[in-house]
Amino acid sequence: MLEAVRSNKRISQIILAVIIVPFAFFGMDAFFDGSMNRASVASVGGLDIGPREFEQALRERQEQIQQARGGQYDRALFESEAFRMSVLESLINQKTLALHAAKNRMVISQQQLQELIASLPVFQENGQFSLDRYERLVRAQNMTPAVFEAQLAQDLRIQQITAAVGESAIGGTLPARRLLLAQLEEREFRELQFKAAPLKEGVTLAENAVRDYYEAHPARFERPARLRAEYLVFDQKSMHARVEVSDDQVQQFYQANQDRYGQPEERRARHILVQAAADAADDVIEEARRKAQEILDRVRSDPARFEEIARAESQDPGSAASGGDLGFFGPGAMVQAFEDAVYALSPGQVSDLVRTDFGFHIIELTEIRPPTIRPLDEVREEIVEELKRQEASRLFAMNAEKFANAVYEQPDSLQPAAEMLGLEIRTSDWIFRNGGKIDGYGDEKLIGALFSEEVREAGENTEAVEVERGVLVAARVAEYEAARVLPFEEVQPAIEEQLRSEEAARLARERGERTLEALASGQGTEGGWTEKRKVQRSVPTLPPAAMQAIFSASTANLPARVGVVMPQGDYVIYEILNVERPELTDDDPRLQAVAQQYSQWMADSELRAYISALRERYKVKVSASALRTESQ
Amino acid sequence: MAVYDLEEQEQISQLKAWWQDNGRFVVAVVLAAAIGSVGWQGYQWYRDKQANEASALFHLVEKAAEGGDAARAREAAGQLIDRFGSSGYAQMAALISANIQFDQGDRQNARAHLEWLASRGDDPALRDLARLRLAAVLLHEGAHAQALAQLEKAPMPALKPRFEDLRGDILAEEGKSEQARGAWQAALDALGSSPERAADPLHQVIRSKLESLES
Repeated sequence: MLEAVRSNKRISQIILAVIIVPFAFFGMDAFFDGSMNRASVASVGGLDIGPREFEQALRERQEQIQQARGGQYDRALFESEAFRMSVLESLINQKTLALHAAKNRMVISQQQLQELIASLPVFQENGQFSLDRYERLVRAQNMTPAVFEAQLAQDLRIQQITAAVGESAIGGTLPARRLLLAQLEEREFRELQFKAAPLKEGVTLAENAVRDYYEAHPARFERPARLRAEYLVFDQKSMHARVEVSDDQVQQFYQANQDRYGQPEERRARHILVQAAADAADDVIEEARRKAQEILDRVRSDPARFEEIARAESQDPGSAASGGDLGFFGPGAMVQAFEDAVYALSPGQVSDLVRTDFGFHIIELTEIRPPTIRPLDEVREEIVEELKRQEASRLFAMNAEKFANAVYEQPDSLQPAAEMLGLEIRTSDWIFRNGGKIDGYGDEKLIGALFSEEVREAGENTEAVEVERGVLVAARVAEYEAARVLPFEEVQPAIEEQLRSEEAARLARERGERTLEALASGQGTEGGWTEKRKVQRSVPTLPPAAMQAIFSASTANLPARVGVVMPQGDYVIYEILNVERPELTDDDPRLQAVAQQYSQWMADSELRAYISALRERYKVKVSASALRTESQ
Repeated sequence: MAVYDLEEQEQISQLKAWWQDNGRFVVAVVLAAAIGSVGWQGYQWYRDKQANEASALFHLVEKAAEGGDAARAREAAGQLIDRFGSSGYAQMAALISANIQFDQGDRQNARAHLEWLASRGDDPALRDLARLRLAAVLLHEGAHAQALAQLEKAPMPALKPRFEDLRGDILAEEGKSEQARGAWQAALDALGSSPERAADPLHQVIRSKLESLES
């Protein structure tokens, strides 16, 4: 639910800004505090953030990411320390801001809250705020409106701080203009290349160079232990194929679940309310009853004027303006006495006075929308699918223990378990201890077990590991290769190639640097310069190293020259011949856009600084164990 | 009196004597506690009431700023500062209002809000922030010396990169290239050079300005 609110653009921007606060000004050492209460993950101003709260925050962020990526995400991401760190950071920032808000007695008025809630499209029906929809959606999130509103108020207070600091920077046009001019600046250059590749032929390596290298870097030629595993995956899906669904069963299910395949009857009514609370004094109630009776008499004498009378007399603020109309509603939507009355009426009929906790009602039933039912043929597929799923799920639950027992009791083979449940034994590719995956599951417990001594050496099955809810995997080692240093003969060509390349690059660089010196002392070169070209600072048409070198070169004296070692080993001299600084008029449209962006950048930076100051003020502590995943 | 035995009588007379000596003091303490408690409650009630009023005024500032109504934002922020100057809301309102005054060309009032916050604000971090923004306003007014003066005192460490960055802007505007370079370099140093820092827009902005500065 809060997600829906946060999807409101402004709020979500701000929440994002709070969330994405990297380690601006904290070293890791200052960040962790070994002395902290072990049970809590972090504390802000003496208030602990417990593991449960942290887990929930992790789950929420996971769901957000899953939703945003439509299921295309890397499960390993959620296990990573970086992920846990970013979630914890944002949680701490929010706590810090909330604490700051409380210390400053920041309050959100009821009216402000109401305005906001009423303005959110999620809670609207036909462009109008719907109280019914609001309560329904809030309760669907297992929250009461009061809890939801308290959370929303908290969010709003945090937003007030972040907006006040993070959207109010004075960027101004002068620095922005300077930046834009820098971005548009062009430098004209020509280049002289010293290619490494052609020099490779001429390289003669010392006699023992290759072997020396091999012996000096044993770690580089070591391949860690690896294995191929046989495995069984037992999940609901594997039971699916074994389930047959008969026509009879479908028919039965359809009959028994009529309400799922249709809309129940709905009724539309209008009413006039004379308020009288259940606990009001007797004379007040009596007075209300008399007034209601009087209105009822008027309605009875001229039923056509119901709307008009409702508009004038009804004390129900929600419906009076629409002539008392309540729209269509189904069973359970209204208080019992009201509903009973509505269902006792026929269309066009007006009720007697109906007493509820709100007061006295005069009700007219205006329309009945009969129940609708989708025909069996239309929903047959759905039902078959549902029944199969149910049965497969039942079979899975029933057999999960058998599966676990079978792989445990007959540890020498997966065959018995496979035959018993009709599963297929599959074989994995080579996997390593680190990052290895079985059928896409990189479960730490499973992979760890495969590489453990008892499984590997004794040749036993692993136990059945639940790698995901409803998915059990058991595996055994099919083939194992211990860690080993690759033999010299196998790696010799690769080493030789590498050493030649390195030497060629060194030669290229040497020549280039010599030429650069010669140029600096006023000597010419034999030529080989490319044509003159231009490059703009904000349009990187050259490799990053070249861009950086060309634009960070001092241009006080032209031509200026810089030498750059390129990633593949070539050496290039760039000669900067000219610097072109653009002219910019004050009404240039680009200036406006850059100024805005500039202000936003500065504001983000200032907000981060402010939050980090608050974190220091409120003594944020983080437990060092918070970032470790549970499986370790 | 025969109801009490000797020992009890002695205790009673001890008690009486004690009351003679200390009775006044006890009454005074109880009374003071009662008054203190009522006073504290009253004070809390008063503070809550103040907080509610400040919140309402702040909401006005927010709305006015959102709607681009600089005059109303200024007025509401002014009231907030006058009546609840020590509240967090007044300080936040000063930032918001200063921003919209500046955006709409009213530098004088932007400056007034920020000057108040820089000199009278309760929150030291916001005082530093106000000095920074005040210097930015002064730069655009051409008051370079005053702008630099605002940046003279060192801010909290987290704001140092921005302080040095702006100092560079001012010096460059004055034509003091060498000093501007020094300031920008100090800003980059303060930002640090880890990979994620280098990806920070602030880092790239400063580097671009530094590298393209004409000598």
